[in-house]
Amino acid sequence: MIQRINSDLAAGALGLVVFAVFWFNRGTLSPLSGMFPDAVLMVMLAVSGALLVKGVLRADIRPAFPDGNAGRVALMIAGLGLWWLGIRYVGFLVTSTTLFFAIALSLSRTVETLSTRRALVCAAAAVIVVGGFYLVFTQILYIRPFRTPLP
Amino acid sequence: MDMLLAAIPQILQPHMLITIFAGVAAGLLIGSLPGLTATMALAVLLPFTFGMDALQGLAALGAIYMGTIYGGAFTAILINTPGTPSSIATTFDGYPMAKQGRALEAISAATIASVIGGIIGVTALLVLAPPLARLAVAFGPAEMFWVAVLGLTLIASLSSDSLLKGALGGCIGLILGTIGVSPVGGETRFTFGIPAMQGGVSLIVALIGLFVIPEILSMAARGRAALSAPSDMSLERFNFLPVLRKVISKPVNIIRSCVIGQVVAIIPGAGGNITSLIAYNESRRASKEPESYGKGNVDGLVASESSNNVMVAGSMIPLLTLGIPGAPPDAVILGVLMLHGLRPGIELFTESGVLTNGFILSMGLAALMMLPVGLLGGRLVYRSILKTPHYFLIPTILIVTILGTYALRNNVTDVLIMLGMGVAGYFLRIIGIYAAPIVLGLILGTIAEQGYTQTILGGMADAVPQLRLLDNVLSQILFALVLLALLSALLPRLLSRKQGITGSGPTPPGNE
Repeated sequence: MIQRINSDLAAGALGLVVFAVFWFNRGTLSPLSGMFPDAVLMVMLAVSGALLVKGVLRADIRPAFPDGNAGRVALMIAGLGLWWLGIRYVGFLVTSTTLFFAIALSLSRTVETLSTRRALVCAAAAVIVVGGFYLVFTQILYIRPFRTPLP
Repeated sequence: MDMLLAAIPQILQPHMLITIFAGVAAGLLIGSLPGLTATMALAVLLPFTFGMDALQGLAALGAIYMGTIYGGAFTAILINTPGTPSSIATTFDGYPMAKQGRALEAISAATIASVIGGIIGVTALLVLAPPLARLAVAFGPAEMFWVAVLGLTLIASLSSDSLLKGALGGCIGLILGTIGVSPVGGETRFTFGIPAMQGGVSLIVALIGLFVIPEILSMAARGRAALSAPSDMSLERFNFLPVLRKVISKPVNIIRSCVIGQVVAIIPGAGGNITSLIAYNESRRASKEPESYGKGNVDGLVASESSNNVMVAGSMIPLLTLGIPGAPPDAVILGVLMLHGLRPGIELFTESGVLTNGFILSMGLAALMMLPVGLLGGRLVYRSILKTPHYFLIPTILIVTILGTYALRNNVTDVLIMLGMGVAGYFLRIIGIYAAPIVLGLILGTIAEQGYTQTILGGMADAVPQLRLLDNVLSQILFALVLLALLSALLPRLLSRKQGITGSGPTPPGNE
């Protein structure tokens, strides 16, 4: 069964959350610094309210996961989180090579069955692509490497 | 005129031609990589020009600038990811064209539009620089505020399935733009106790996150790349001439977009991203088939690409005459001028006239070189992206976006913000809030805030300080344009509702 959401109610609720996050963190801003954000937040409050009303009266209902596979999205988001943590605390080369390999191998399963040859191709691609871009950025473009225990 | 004629033989020397060719090719390559902006390309390649004489160095940077802005169109068309902020509007129709198996047609149209735009921009720079520069000086804080508001009214048009959601997206962009140090008061706002947030949310970081990551997640969820099958897009069957005829058969669209690009470009800070969005919107409004925009209409692509390439030379007008960079990459050019002991102003057109005219002409030459470099390079980029399996393409794009984001400020927090905004952008897209209004709000927030606050400050002694916003004729004209823009966005919806037309309406541009 395709899950559906009331997008107007969801958007309105999101607007209220963003409003609350910024409104209660504005502290004691002077009029010079607070004039513009206050105006924007008031407009946001009004628009969110209007969306909530529309969500009740004339809702826009749409599929919750239009791309189909929510599980793969969740896995990819987890992968992105791991990627950042790895870059931050382990090292760019090690993290990126590992995750490139894992993502490539995982996604390749949608078009062909897993095999040793497939795994070797993914591993080679991971080393070449990650290593290549790392060299271009650090040796040619002189981007300072990530300051982590490993490269 | 004498100086212009004297400059021609200088830029036609072999070493100059090679320099310009290499600059365009390098720019195209860098511009086609998401996250690598024109400013970054110029900044990174700047040291390579130190050993060159002034004209060669400036010509190299001008060519890189041209190539980068043009190169941004490639990934905008092929993977719905603007290589540079100027290519946001190019995604609206370029990507749907690619999905319909018309990628090479889109790339060719973008190339033709870019060449025409580049040449028109250079011509305008040569002819109109002094009078247009005087007009730009007339834009004070109130006028800049209205220019920003005019841009913000585009939000309504950009999210054509729901004005309210478009407005909410714009507000989210505006409020994200207030994070960090206030441009007027100087206080630090909304940092949530994170020191790295004091620098605010970088536009490029937000742009990469909101445009790239949702597409990556979507591709991963579908288990395939978003482009259609290679059999739909045979290179052998493609013919360039019909595309050329199609593009030049609508001269009004090109001329309108170039005029918009030129006018917006001379306003300091406006930049190509705003230019292309306005030109795209006006093209859609003027079209007899507005509903086809966002679904693969080549006119929308031409409007975006011609206007953003006019901007490259157009933004040099305030730079060369007043020393005010019209767009961020111009700041790097200004640095090179100073490096060679050249001061912007009237002296640049008199005492150093041959050099200045040579620099301007070299940009015209770079625009012409985009045709061969683009058509050949475009096929290479197209082939490599198309033939790469999605399970290699997805992690490869992630690598480039992560490295590109980090390289902006050597800041790992930027990578986290980019990924976070991207994931949020994916879910926002599901509920109908798209990336374009958020990014537009982020771009225009600072301009609007500075204009508004400075104008109100100037009217503090008045009974109603806000009236200062409509104090002069130019402000009143801009205000009228804002009202017109709002009405033209609202009227078709009200009319269609009155006539009882049902359905979800046209697909929002860039959101397909």
